[in-house]
Amino acid sequence: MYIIYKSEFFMNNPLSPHLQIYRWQITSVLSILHRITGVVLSLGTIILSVWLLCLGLGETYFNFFNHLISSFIGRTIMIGYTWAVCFHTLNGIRHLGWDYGYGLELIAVKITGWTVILSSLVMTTIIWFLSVL
Amino acid sequence: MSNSGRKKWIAQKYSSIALIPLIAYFLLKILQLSSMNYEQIITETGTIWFLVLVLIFTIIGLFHMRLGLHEIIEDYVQNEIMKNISFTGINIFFIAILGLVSVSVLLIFLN
Repeated sequence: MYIIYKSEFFMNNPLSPHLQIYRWQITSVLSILHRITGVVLSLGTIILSVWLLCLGLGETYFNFFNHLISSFIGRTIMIGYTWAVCFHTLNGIRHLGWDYGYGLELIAVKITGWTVILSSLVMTTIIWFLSVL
Repeated sequence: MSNSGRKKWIAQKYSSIALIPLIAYFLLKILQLSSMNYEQIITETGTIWFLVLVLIFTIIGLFHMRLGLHEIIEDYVQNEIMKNISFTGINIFFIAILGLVSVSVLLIFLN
């Protein structure tokens, strides 16, 4: 039994959820996006802490950093990162609701899901609109 | 061991609750700072309570990050060696970012 369990077949069992054959649904997409944005936010801490370091090192470093993130690629990354922050926070609040037993019905899950997507996009737009002003 | 999943879930839940007001505060703060020049930003961020708040945010945020990344690795990495390498990598990342932020906070305070 142990040998069968340890055999190649069981060691390489496909992982659930079976992403290759999965039909796209708001529920699963948001669950995956929550994880992806979580990883993105983790990696983004490098940018944030380097920004803080440049602030501490002096004006030359700080201006150089600002110059980098003001470029087209830099702006795109920062706007994407802002969205990741908004999405992960709002979807996190949705998760907290579930933890306390709220919004678990399928219709509620779908409504709150779309609400999270829309409001994260609106929040990102407002933040960047205000920063440009 | 049977209790570890539950403990992680609770820790993840409470760290996320703590992070909501912190995220809201720092989003607004960065928005406010974005319209300032270097001198103004230094005066604004150079206070002890602000820098302590940055450190608290960093520690809770990294703690939350570590739990979340562990969960992802436990779900998708089957190989035990790879799993342990990943966990060590996360710990190194945790310490590196905390170190970087601590040094920065000290530099800003002394500025």
